[in-house]
Amino acid sequence: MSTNPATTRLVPTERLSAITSLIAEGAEFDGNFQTSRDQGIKIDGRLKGNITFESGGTVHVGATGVIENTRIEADYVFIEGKIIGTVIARKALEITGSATMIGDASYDELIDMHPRARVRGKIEYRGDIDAAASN
Amino acid sequence: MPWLSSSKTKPPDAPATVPDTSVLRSTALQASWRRDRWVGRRRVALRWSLYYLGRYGLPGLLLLSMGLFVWLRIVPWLAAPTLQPVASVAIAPPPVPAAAPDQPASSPAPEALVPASPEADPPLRLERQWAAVSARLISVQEDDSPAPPLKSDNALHSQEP
Repeated sequence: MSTNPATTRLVPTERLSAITSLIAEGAEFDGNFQTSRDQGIKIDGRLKGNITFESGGTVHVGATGVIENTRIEADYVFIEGKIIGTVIARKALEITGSATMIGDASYDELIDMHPRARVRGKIEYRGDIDAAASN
Repeated sequence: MPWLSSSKTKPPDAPATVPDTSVLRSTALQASWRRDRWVGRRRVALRWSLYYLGRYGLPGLLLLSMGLFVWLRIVPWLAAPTLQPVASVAIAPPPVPAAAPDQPASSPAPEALVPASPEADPPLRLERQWAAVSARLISVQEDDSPAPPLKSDNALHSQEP
């Protein structure tokens, strides 16, 4: 029986299916995660530290996942759980209705936020505002 | 000793199947997605229900309670408790104080309360003099003679050109 990943609007399904690292529910990880490859990480447990994808990368915070004191940087960031820290999505940032985010978030291209998402912080578009307005 | 003789474990006949990394990863991801789906749906449903409860539920409950309160005030017999007929209760007579030894035995008995007779409290009747007074008042009000001119008592206003 194959289960599809969560219904997404911006983050491609194949990106979520190509997750290579997983912090399982109930596990705690204290430290930084960094890679230069286009990989992905899914957090269902608790993480204290930064996640940095120098190029590419997909970060999926599951509904049971909690990330504290963090700075997440990746192309695609899909949040269903709780994040306390800073998020930088170079391509798309998606915040679902079950998500809680305390901190600032910035994105370069696309953002999608559910009306029941709980966000306390600043959301910033990092692209060129004038270029976007002329289009 | 049997446990000393079997210190060497025999290798299994069939090699254990080590799960493939990709299979293990996909299985773990599918289980995680399944759990995410349920937890996410439950959390979103809870958030929506809290939102609708605060927006519509509490005002509706307030209106309902106010309406019930007003209705009970308008129809008071609904709110009044049903009165049960009082059963015949034998009331004990008040205790008679013991007669003081120095008091004479022929002391007057306490007077019983006698209801007032109808002759002592006559019913209300129309006062006949009130008709004459009211007729005089009406004649004064209907007097439409012109009022005397008013004299200005303000000296400042009288000196203006």
